[in-house]
Amino acid sequence: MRIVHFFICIGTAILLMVSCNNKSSENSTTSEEELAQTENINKNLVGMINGTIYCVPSPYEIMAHVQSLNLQYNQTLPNSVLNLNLYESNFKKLLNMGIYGIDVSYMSLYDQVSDALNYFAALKTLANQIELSAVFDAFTMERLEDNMNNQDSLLHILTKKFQESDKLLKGENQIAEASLIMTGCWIESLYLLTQIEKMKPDPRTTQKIAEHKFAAETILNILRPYYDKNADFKNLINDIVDICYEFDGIEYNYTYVPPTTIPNKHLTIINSESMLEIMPEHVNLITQKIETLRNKIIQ
Amino acid sequence: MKRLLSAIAFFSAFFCTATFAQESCASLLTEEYVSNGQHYATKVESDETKECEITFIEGNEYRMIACSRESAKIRMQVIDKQGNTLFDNKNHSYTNYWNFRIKKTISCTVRLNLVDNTVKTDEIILLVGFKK
Repeated sequence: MRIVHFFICIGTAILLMVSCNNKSSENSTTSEEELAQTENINKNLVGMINGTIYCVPSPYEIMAHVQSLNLQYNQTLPNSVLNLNLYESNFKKLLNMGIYGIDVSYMSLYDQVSDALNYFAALKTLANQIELSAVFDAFTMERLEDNMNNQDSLLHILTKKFQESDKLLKGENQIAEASLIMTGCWIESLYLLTQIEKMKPDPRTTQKIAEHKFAAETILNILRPYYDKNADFKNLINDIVDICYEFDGIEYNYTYVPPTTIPNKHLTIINSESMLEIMPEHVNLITQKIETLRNKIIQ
Repeated sequence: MKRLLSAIAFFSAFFCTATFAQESCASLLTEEYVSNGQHYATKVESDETKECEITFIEGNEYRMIACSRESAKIRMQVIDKQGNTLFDNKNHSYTNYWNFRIKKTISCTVRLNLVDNTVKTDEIILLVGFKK
C-alpha cells in the first residue's frame, strides 16, 4: 500500500506546496521518522493552479489499475534516460521531469529498483539544469544510494523531492513551469494507459482512458493562459487541443438521481447515473495523438 | 541561490499562517484515507464564494474536509453540472468533513463560503482523500 501512496504523490506532488513545518532537519531525521514525516506531508498538500483543483485521474488510480491487470513489466514503455542529453530547453526539461516521475512510478510497481535509481539520477540532472539543484543535492543522492534496497524509502525520498521542486518553482513565481511538470505527468499517464490498452485490450482500461476526458480539460485550462508566452507553449497547447477534440467525441451522459444521505455515518451516496461512451476509433486516435505528442517531447 | 532562499523565506512565512488550518484539516484525514493531493487553499472574503471543479471517479469513496483559520463554520456545498445540490453541510450543522460514495464518475462544483460574518477575511483549506 505504501507503493500506492507513492503513486498518488508523484503525480500530484507537482502541484504541491508544503507547509513551513516540513522544512529542514533533513540530516537529523531517521529513516522511520522521515517516513512518518512524509506521510504527514502527503496530508498537508496545497495544490492550486489558476484556481483549479487538480482533478486529473490520480496516479493512484492509474497504477492501481495497472497492477490489477497482472501484466509483465514492459521496459520499452518508460522514456529512456539516454534521451536526457536531448533536452536543451527548460521547456523540454520540465515536461520530461514529469514524464520521468511517472516512469519511476511505473517501474517501481514492478520492483525495478535499480532502474529507478537511474531515473533518480536523471531527475537530479534535470533539476540541476533548471535551478533546482538545492532539491536534488549531493546528500540526497547519497541517501538514495544508501537506500537502494529499500524501495519504500526510495519512493518517499523522491516524493519529498518533487514537493520541494514545486515549492521552489512556485516560490519563484514560475507557475507556468510548474504546470509543465504536471502536464508531463498527465501525458505520460495517458501514454502508459493507451500503450497498455494496445498490449492487452481490456474494457476497464478503455474506461480509464475515457476518464481522461476530464483531465484533458483541466490540463488545457491550466496551460491556456500561457498560449502567447512563446512558440513552445503555443505548439504544446495546440497539440493538446487536438487531443481534446478526440475526447470531445466521448459521450458523457449524466442523469441526476437524488443522493442518499446517512447522517450518522457522515456519508452521502451519490446515486446519479453517468456513462462515458468511448468508441474504438477514439481510443485509436487518442493513442496515436498522445504517442505523437509524447515522442515530440521526449526526442 | 539568493533568489531561491528569499523565495523559500517568503513562502514559508505565507504558509506558516496556513499551518493551523492545514493541521486541523489533516487530522480529519484518518488512516483509512489517502490524500489525493487535491488540497485547495485560498483566501476568502466574508461575502465571497469560492468554487472548485472536481471529478469524482466511480467506485471510490472520498472524504472532503474544509477548514478555516478563524471562522468556526464554513459552508460547503457539492453541486452537479445541472445545478442540483448533492450535498450541503448547512443541513448537517456545518460539519467540516463529509464522505461521498460514488456510483458513477461525476464532475461537480464544490462551493465554499464563510458563515460567520464577523470574520472579514479568512483562509479556507479544502482537502480530499480516497478511502483505501
